[in-house]
Amino acid sequence: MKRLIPAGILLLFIFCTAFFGKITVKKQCDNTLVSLESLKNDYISENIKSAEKGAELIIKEWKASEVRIAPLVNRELIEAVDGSLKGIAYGIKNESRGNVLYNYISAEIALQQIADEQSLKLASFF
Amino acid sequence: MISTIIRTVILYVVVTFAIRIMGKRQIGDMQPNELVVTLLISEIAAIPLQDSNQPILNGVVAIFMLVVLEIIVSVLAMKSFSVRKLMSGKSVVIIKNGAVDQRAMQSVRMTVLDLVELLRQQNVFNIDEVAFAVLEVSGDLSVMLKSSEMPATAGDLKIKKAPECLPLPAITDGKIIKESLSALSTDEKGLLEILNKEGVDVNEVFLMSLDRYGNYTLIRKDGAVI
Repeated sequence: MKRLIPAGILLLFIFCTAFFGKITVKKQCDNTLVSLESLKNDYISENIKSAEKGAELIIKEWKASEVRIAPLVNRELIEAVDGSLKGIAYGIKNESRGNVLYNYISAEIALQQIADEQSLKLASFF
Repeated sequence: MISTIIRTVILYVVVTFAIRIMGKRQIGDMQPNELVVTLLISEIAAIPLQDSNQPILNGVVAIFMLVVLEIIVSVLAMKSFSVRKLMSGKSVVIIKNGAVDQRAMQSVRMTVLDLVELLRQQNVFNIDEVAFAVLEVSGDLSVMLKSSEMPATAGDLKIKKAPECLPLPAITDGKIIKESLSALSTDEKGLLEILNKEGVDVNEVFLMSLDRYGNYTLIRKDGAVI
């Protein structure tokens, strides 16, 4: 049974990493998705100034989130969200509606993909 | 580039730690499940090294999970014969009472040439000398010669020999190994007496092996053997 002690310690480390990793990533993604939804509503309701501020705020928030989720998430997905958020800010400044909506969808998909990677959904296993 | 260096160091430590926990075994002596885990660990460790976009923690967690599975399976195999048989297979008797079991050879897909080669590796050049040969799980062949072909032992010849004792390194490269002295139930004083008798200083000794009966071999740094 002594031989099982290292296995137990490693298992504890694995479960802690998986559990807290899932919670952290889900929380960061959910927060960003909520902010993104509110930004989209502002933009659609022609509240451009608020949308501009919102876009800058989301980019800042995402930078902070990046640090927390970087050890757990594929760097490419983090960069994809970052790029899309910057695309939204650029689109709002330059009044390019298509650009804003396209980048909104891209960011949403990337965020969902990040959350899915940590989830127990059947699709994430295969 | 610096991050690559750090990632490499981390993964080196993790993989070494993982292999160390699994226990010391040479590749050839591994059970099938151990071999699979070792191969997978090396593959998984390579992914975060090659792709810097992959978080290193993903690789570390996967490696640790494999180690956990390996430990659990090995403990279960120790406790249960069925698990051991399932995971590692079982030994097959190829030669029984001097007769080659062809059906057993077919079951392990072994040709006559394979058998002859494995026998030669055991210093057996004539199959007729073999009483029993067992193909072990590791792929090695264990051979028991017919009693008429076995070399005579001291017991057969009724020769009295001194009981076996294991010589231990007492001094290596001028340094006294205290663990060896305590295992041999002696102390530094006794060791220095031997060195004084031989007229050698501790610092001049390259290797000195000693057994519990006081027999020793002394190799000086200049190469002289005493």
